[in-house]
Amino acid sequence: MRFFNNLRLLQIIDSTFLVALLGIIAVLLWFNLSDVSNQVRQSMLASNTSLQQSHAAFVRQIELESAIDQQRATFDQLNDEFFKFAFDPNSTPTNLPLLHKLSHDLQDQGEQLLAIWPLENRPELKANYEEAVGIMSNLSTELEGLPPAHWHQLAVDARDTANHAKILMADIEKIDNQLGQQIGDTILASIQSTDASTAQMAAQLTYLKQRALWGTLGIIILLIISRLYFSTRFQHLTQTAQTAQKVAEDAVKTKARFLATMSHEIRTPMNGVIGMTRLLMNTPMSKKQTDFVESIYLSGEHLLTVINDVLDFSKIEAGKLDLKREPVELRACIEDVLNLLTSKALEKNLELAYAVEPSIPLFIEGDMVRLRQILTNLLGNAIKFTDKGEITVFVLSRSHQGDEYELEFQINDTGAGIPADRLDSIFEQFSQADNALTNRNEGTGLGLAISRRLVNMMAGTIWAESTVGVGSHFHFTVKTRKAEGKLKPFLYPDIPEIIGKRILIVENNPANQQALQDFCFGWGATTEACTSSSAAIARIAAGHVYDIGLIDSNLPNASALDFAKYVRSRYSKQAFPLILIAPPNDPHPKEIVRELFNLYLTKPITRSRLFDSLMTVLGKLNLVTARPQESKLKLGERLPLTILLAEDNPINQIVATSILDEIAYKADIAEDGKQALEALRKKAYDVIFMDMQMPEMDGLEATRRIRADFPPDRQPIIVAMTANAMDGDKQNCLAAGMNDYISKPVLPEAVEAVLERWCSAPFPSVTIQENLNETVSA
Amino acid sequence: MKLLAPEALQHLPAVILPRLIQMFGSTTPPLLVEIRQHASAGNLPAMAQAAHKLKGSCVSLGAEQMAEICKTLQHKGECGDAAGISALLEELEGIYPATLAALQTI
Repeated sequence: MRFFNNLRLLQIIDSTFLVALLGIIAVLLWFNLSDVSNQVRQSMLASNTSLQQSHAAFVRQIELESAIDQQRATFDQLNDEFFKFAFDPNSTPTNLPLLHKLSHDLQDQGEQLLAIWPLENRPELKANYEEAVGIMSNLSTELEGLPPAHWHQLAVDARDTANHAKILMADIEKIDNQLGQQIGDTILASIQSTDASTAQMAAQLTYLKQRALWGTLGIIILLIISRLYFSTRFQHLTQTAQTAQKVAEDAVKTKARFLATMSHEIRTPMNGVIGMTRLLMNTPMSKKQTDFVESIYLSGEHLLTVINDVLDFSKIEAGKLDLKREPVELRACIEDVLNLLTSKALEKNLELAYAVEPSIPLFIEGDMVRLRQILTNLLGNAIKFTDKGEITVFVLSRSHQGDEYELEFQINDTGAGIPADRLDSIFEQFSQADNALTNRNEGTGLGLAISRRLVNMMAGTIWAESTVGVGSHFHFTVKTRKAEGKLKPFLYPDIPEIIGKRILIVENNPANQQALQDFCFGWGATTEACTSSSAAIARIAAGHVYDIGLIDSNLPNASALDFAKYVRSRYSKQAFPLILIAPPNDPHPKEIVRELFNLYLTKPITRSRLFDSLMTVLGKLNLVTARPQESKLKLGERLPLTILLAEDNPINQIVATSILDEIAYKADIAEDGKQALEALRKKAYDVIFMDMQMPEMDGLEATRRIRADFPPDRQPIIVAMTANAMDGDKQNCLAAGMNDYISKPVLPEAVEAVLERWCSAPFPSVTIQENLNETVSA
Repeated sequence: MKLLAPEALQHLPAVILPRLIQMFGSTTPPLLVEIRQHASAGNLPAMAQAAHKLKGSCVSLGAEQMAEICKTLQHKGECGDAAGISALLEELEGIYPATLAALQTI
């Protein structure tokens, strides 16, 4: 936790630092750039104003010049007219209106010119000009009152005045031109000042650029330094964490190793005690001694269960228990557990039955050993605490999406029940529902705790419901998915021999009835189910015809035999075969049963037994090789295999070959991995038993080569044999491409189990396969 | 720890036991010599291999005590740890005759 906090703090500091630096850059740039933009705006404003002023002055100058030109023209015209008038002998005062008009124009124009007078600083020039214009315009008025003799003089005066006015106008023009020059200069100056300010701005920008460059460089250096510092810190923290993790992992490994060693070290002597006790029980002893030895034996068995429970529990607690993900044949798994517990159930005359929802796939992904452990535990408890009635197992599909399934298992009993206030705590370790019943509660009190943990590891939950005096229901769920596995004959749907057969089921136990219907339906039969013999008799009497009858021995009113007698009164054993479903200790007299029924089907009902029974009464059993459960044949006789033994130690060679010989296999021997490869090149083997450590080439290397070099049809099943009983070795074996693993000393059961697991052909009988093909092609 | 764990032998077919025990008697002395030679020559990996081989025989016949010593020797050999090897070898050679005798009396 401390590590986490520190890391968090470092991250916060680092981020804050980075954000602050970026903020400083942004603020600096903002201020500098807004300064520059202000300056640009001001100088733009100044140059705009000066340009506008210049433009106005220019317009005024042009206006003035045109006014002067006009005035000059008018003066000239007036002057000419005066002359024409003065020197024309025919002149009469009637010609005067033209002169008046011209004079008037001159006056107007003069006023206009004065209105736009540009030279405020030359009042005398203005006055002179005003005077000249006034004189010139008054001349025409004067002319009216003068006799013709004076007209000449007046014309001369007019010319003089006009000349004077022209000189004045030239003056004005000159001054105006000077003003124009001045305006031009002003514009030039303004352009120059704009130039200067632009240059200044450029300089400022360059300065800014440099400053930004240095600033950025500085920040980069700071960032690099901070990064280096922080990364060192991070590295240091990570290293600390890694070291801590390694220490923890080492501790866990040590614990696992200890557990593995302990499990071996404790179990071996316990097995010795139990084995020897069993041998002792076969020797002649007094009654008292027999009782003592029996007590030792039972205590030993109990102690072994306790040890196994404790080891399992510590393994789970240490997190060292890994669930496998292998294809599990769910129904077979339940059947195995039921078979295992049948003898205990029979002691109390309890009915055992199970039904799996047909929509649930045959194979699911999971850990069969652990699933069996949970089921054995719950069923074992159910049997332990139930004195009469039945134990049923139902498996339902709670939800499924594509290949994903959530399954619910229900284990129901008709036992004493559990008080409501104890229901929650029964899944705690070292807890049992009824401590008073200690004589019945052999066990560690770890069973349910282990089951709960296993269920949790399978992504499920476990809970119990109970009514005191009526019974208990234990439920657990697991999440799993559909898997593919090797199909045994009775796992195939639609068996040609069974398709279309009409099967009558007389069974009052709902779970068994359901199971029988599901199985028969799956193989392609049509079924009809009755819960009592009278209902069944009524159907037959009504004219319904059936091919096979499945009759429970435990019908109400013990009527199974009555029903059979009724059937036999109408049909022979060949025409309507009957199968009696009975527990091994069935009370009905054997002779009568043999007379009426074709076959016994022993409870608990399993698919393989039901399949065999149906095939037998259909006269088709010879088509299918015998089931392992019923076979007295050695494994090698019903499952022939070519086997290679790769083992360098001569004694172990003999041990392994003699064990294989016991179950009717002849194995070839290779002294090391190289020889094994050579042997496999010469001949195809089904199975190789491979020692791990051999000279020349060890088992792992040989396996890798075989997996890499040989074509798929020449790939054998490879089973490792080793004296190192650690989980890590098993991982190595599987990683190298081996299929399985047995530990030394090699035991016959282990060899048999591994061969059955990997080599049981999906279809031992060729005939059935051909039949199936015909069905498919038809 | 006992010299011999009889349950290991119980799993084996009785007919082969005499042959196995005779074989144990004939293969073990050369292996012991081999182990000692490799140990004195300082060739620990080779010693580990020889010890492993002997361990295999011992495990199969239930000679637990010898198997245990072989296991330790093999482990030491694989790790290159020469300490205490000669003592272990002496112990191994010391209990061998008793083990063989115990096997022969079955």
